[in-house]
Amino acid sequence: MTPGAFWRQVGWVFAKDLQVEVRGGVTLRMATPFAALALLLAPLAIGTDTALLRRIGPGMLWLVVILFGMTVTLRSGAPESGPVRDLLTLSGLDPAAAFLGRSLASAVLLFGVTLVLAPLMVVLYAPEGSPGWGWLALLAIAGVMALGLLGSLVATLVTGLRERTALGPLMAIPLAVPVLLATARGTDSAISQQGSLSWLLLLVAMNLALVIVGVLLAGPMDESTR
Amino acid sequence: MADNGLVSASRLRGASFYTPLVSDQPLVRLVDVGFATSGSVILHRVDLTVEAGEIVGISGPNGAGKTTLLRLLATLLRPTSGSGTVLGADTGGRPQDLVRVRRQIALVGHFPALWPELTLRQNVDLPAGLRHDPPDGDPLRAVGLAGVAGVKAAQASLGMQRRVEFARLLAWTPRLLLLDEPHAGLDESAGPLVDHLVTRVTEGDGAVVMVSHNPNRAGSLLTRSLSVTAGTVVEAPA
Repeated sequence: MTPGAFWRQVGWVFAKDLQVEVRGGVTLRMATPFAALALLLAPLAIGTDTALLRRIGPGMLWLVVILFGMTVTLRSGAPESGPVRDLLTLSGLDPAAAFLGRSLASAVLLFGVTLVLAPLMVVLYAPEGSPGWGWLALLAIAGVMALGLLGSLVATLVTGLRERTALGPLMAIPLAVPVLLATARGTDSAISQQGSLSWLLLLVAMNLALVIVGVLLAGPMDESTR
Repeated sequence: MADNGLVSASRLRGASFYTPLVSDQPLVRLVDVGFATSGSVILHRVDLTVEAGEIVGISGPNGAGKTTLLRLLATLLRPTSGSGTVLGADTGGRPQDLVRVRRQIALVGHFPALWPELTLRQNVDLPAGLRHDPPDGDPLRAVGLAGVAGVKAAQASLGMQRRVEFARLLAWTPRLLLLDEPHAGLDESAGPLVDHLVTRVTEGDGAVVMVSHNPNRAGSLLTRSLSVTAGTVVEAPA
């Protein structure tokens, strides 16, 4: 397959997954409201310690994005099953292209969730400082991309297993810890006007590693789970 | 012809984009093929040859292995014993070698391959985009679904979902068409549509393998009948 044909397939899967989300609305209708509620309930549990709330705000935002986002990516990032999977295989869809397309679509969905939750975090937790918007944008993009890739990779690995519903989050959440550290600490640094380059580089390295592992494993996993 | 009526065979016949491939080899050759999973043998000692132009009917009791045989022919499953070729490719070969032949195979399975969240129109257009086979005209109109193109697949009846799968096949002609109970859920008016798709494949130097429990609807088309019994393929009694 030529590189052009491969990337056209990536784009096809990306567009298809977003169409399914637009028509199905699982992320927007179910995951996002629950994530917003979690962000709302945490200050109620902590109480009136506003200094503490200011400090934990960015970390809470990313914790909620990762926990709720992972449920989205494990679902939307999972390979197709049953007759649709057969249809795609017979249409010549490269499993590696499908992996990248699904990951990109999941990342876009998570970016949308983050955009909804970020203003809520600012209102509820009132973090101090004037943010470096450029750093924040780069961290958010690299963070959601890593989560999208991670969700798709784990969903691919547990495909066909009877215990995949429980196994998926158990595998994905520990692997997401570096993403949580990099995004939360990087956001802290960006808000306090310190550079976030080291955290951003960690995310970029994670993204590269996940792309390589996912692309290499996609074909063999596809064949072995029929 | 009304939008919701019978497909016009003559109009569909003129909508073929297929360039016949000429070959003197059988399209399918399975030799002593077996398939087992999780310790249970589903197919064993299957010998099967399908030549271009043939329409092979397969019958047999539930659980006999008919669907597994179709998936083997589609190269979606690999034989666990024996050997075979489908459209010239080794059925146990590397996935990258099977990609070329897979694009010449169509499988209409027992359960429709549709995205339930998407409309019937999207379910036709999306796979066509992946195959780069844009349909000429409106395939949903040709199968009598133009008026309900915006309905979600999840809300469509089994018969409508089946017609969507047939609409997809109007954009291209497979070399090997595999049908699993193609008449299931369809009313009598859809019979000519199945006949047309089958004839189109065989006229284009292809072959059709059709699993059917309904000999009355499939029988007149068949050039040969086989029976799968307890995992083995035998010639069906005349």
